[in-house]
Amino acid sequence: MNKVSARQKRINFTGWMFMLPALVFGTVFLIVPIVMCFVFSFTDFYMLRPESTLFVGFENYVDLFSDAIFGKAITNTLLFVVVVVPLQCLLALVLALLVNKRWRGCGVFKLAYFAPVITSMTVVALLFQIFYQRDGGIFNLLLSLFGVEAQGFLQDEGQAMLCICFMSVWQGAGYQMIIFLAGLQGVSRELYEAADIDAANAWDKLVHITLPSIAPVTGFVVIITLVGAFKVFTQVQIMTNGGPNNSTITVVYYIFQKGMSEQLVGYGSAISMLFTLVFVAASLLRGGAAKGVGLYRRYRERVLGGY
Amino acid sequence: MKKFLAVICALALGAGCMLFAACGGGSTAGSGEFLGLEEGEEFVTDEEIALTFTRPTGNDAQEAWWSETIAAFNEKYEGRIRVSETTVTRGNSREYEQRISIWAASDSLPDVLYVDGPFISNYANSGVLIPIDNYIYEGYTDGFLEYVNEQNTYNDRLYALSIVDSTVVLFYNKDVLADENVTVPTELEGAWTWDELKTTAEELTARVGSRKRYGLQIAGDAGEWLSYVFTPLWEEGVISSDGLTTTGYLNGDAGIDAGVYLRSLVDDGAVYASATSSDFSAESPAASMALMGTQNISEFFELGDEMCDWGVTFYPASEDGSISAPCGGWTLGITNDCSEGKRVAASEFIKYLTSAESCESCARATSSPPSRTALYDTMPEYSDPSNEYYEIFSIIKEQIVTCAQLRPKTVGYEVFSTEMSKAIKDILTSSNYGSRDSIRTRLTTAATTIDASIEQIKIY
Amino acid sequence: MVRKRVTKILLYVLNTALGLLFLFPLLFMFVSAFNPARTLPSQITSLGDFLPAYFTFDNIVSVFTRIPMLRYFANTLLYALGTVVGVLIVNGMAGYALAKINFRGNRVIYNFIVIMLIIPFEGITLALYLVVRTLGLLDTPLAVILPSFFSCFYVFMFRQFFLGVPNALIEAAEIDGASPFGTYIKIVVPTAVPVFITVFILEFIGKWGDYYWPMLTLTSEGWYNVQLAIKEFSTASPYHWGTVMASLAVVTVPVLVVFLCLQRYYIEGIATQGIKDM
Repeated sequence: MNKVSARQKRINFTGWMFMLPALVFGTVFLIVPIVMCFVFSFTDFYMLRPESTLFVGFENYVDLFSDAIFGKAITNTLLFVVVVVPLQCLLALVLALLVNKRWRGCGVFKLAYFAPVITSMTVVALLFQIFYQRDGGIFNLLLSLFGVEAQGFLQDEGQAMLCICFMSVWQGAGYQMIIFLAGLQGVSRELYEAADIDAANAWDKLVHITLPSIAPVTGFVVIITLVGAFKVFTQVQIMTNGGPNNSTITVVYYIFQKGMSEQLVGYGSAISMLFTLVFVAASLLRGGAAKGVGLYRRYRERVLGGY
Repeated sequence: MKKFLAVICALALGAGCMLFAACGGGSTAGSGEFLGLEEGEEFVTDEEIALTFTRPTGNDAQEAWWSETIAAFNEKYEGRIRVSETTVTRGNSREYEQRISIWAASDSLPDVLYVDGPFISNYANSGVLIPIDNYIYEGYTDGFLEYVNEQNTYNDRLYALSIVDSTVVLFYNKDVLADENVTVPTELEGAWTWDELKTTAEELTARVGSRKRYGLQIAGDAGEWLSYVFTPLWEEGVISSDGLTTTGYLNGDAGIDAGVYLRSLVDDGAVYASATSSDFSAESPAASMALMGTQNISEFFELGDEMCDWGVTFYPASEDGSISAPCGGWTLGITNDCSEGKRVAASEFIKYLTSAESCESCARATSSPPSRTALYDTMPEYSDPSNEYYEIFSIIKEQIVTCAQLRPKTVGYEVFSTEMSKAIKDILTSSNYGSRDSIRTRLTTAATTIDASIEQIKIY
Repeated sequence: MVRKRVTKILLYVLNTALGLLFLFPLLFMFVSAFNPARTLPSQITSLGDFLPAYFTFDNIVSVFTRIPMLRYFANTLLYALGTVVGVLIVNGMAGYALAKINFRGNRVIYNFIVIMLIIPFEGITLALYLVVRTLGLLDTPLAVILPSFFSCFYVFMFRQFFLGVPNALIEAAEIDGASPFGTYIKIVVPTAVPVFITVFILEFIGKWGDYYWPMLTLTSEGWYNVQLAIKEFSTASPYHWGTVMASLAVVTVPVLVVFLCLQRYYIEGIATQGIKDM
């Protein structure tokens, strides 16, 4: 401890001072609730009768493993993540590239692509619920122009989740587009000018300059889209309430249903904790894998003299 | 760094436990001893008692009645009791009940609470509401409809009192039915059965010019409506008498018959699956008839000429001609966050609101059936055939007095009504439930879910 | 030259097609808002039925006359701006510290924040409510403002973008004798305007559309935000399609204006360097 130089001490102090507001607000409004939630998950806390709460150990967690609806919620959430994350990120990137360059009217299109985000998920979900209707819904009216018979969409167990996926990709792409755009501002202009001298075509510039330059932003966007997709809730609540027959129930919706609607706080908290735990484990695993790769590289460098 | 993290964790844990401990408190009154005021006894107090009261926001007519009545109460009890009310948008998806839950969890319930009747079992079981028979003198409940008292009772103790009630009736568009030469039953004995209702609805479904017209609207609030309006179709009941098991009832043979019947309403074109709850009351209505609650009547009156010329007839009867009409409405209870010193005052407030005079003015202002039996013989709209509205209210009266059926009494009403409504909605609208077998499966899933959830609720 | 022109036309065509696809619900909402009273969804049998027979301002007028809409706008603006200011200060500083100050514990906090991203709000709602209640903030504007100040998401975002600010810039400022805070305000913030704008827009939209948390914490009608206020239109019976759409449209306009005012910052091209690896 004594070995810390005066300079490092100053840096530590500065760093913590910059972190201070975040630490204060983060502790009070995030960490304290999480710890409380953690404690609740080992109790039978029933919202309507808090005074009779007892510790029940791992009972809530054990119950979860035999809860068929919870299983369904996990499968649905995974399906949502697998479909939405790649599509949404790719669409967002394409949109950002389309409106990145300065050209006449690009502001209008930027607005158009961002419109669903501005309209907010609540409203968009409400509108799509109407669009998806079997009778009189826009999608079925369009299909009928091509002679396709009316589809159930949200009222069909097989299609409902995919319908929600489609709407989500479309609604959320503008959000990620904005972040991509902020990232694209940072791509150095000199690089493009140099490429112009080499007479590189647009595709080469995209692949060799733009994409590598925004790789960190891309990583960021993928992570937040992934996290957002795991937490899918609003659209389910508004469009289907988890139905038909639980075919669109997701983990966070189930947390809400159990913990808030059915007042079973203990059980709901247990789901939240398990959900977080799985994510922590996954990121540790990823960290571990990265470390492993690093070690292996160093080992190779030392033993094989590096390539 | 580690030290720092440890401090954070300790702080967080400490705060967590503190909050958790703070959740305790609140007491349930011991039974037996009478603490309230006897009939005719004046309420006296040394200092003014402030009471808080919360209810969901109603329509214009209801709002007007409430603010008038509470102002009158505050004036009458000036210097003794002062009630301040908070109204909360009811929203859908049970937002009002969610707020009650979160208030219960944080000991911040108002003193007096307006709750929907079927939630009494749950609130009584968990202690959100306290029994009020210690505060209401004996005989006070005698004047009320028997089934309303039954709804407000849990384990033989009274928890709430009602001002007005509600029931489900069949509304119809007079012009359309006259055009199609359909005569509507006006006597209880001749009430349509479910099958007759379906046949009539099918006949009324047509294309008029560029507009679609269909027979029957059944849409309503997403949370519980479908379970409320169709529970009587489950002729052998939807839940065991102890209110804990639905398997074998909800998905029993009678239940599956009910499901098949509901599905056939859509398949045969009597009901339009994507309808909204205003298809009947719209300026150019799409629905010719509608199963709706009596709470809609005051809105219909408000709409006046903007709406069709409408009439009311009985809720459909079962094959043997008997009717079990869904009934039960909102009630007033005292919460356990109301301190002991305020409870007598709270009971005074409730007695004031449920007095014969107040029931009558509420029934008139909000066009709802009163909760007191005697009023059906004195209020002209219910008793005087020459009254302009007798045609409407006499039917409601007959239904309420002779064939009321309460919503199920269960501590799991929340999950019961939600899951049953979801199942009915799926059966009505989903492409996956065309066959009897699939309907059986769907109802079984609902029953299993409900039973599992009820099992998680402790009976205290 | 011909090729360039073809590319350009193609670009416009593609953008227009995509743009319409994305603008559709907004257009639908606005068109419906001017739809004469009581068009029922059940009467829609062809695409043409979505167009109103004639335009009317009745719906818009009734949104402003049935409830004190201006008051709710003022409330919501207070919540949104209050939150955004806090969010920019709190998370901007934290993001800067994590990106550019090599203090002890930097890595641990960064990892912790990334993990905390996954905590679903719906899971901690009740606990947060109890905290807010203990602090005595219920039914005050602070109940909706303070809990949103810190956000793992924005700290993460700020950090990623600050990584791209060249160290040379910061070092130069320090040599000139600027304090660390002075460096941050005068040198770093101006180079990272797009991020601040982005966070501003995202948080503003988020707060503007917030429904559930205000519903739980704000009980007095006087404190309602626009989303709580317009709920009355969609739950009131009889359900009035035109008014519901009008209320949604009215509520959307301010956000639209904010975005239109701020979006030009994305074309200005602020010359920061490429962002470093995570």
